[in-house]
Amino acid sequence: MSSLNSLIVDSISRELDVCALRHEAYSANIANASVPGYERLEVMTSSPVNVGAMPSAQLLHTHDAVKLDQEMAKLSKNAVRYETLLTAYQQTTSILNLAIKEGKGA
Amino acid sequence: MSMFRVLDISSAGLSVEQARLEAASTNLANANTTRTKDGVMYQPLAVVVSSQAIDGTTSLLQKPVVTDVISTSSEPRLVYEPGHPDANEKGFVTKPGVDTLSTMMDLMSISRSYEANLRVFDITRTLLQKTLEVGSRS
Repeated sequence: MSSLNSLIVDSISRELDVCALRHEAYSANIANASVPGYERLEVMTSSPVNVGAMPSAQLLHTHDAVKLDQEMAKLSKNAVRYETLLTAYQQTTSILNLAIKEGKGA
Repeated sequence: MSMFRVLDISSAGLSVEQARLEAASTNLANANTTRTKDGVMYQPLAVVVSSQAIDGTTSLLQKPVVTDVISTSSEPRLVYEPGHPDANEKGFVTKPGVDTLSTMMDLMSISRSYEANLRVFDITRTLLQKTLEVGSRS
């Protein structure tokens, strides 16, 4: 039980980090959209997020120019994903909290 | 918290777009200027923007900065206006080489970029706020 919970919390927080990095990359792309010769950044993840697997993420230059509308769409999608993960994190910790309080109180 | 850097990047984007807006509107406003204080013809301004690394980081993340505002040496326009006090002996007035159409297009793209940066700033703020709220309700 305890190891399962910490695995869930771990993978959610790792994926939150990846999402935050992706948000940084897309924001930088949008800010630099009007700079001539700027190459857009993308976050590459090496492995899909399984419970217990450790995804490693890194920033890379793709060799294409920034398209403002597509970048905006990607950023919004990523922001929703981030909020979803936050909610999942909160749900998991509130279950843990319930167990800590022996089911008493909210 | 690395996400705070995004706010810096977005505001750098906002100030770059503002500089481009200033240059574009100055060019448009002076499209029909025939005299200047120092006697030379008004030259359209251009903003040079480049990306630079955020202070103190080696990350690939870059923010845009205005490197320079330069006067371009575009060919002046000759407009036939015989009654104009600044017309030459053939009736032509020399006006700055401002390309009004492409400047208007620039204005549109500046406006879109500014809006996009503002939106990103807002989204980042919301995400940070939500992150801060984690733990406060459970």
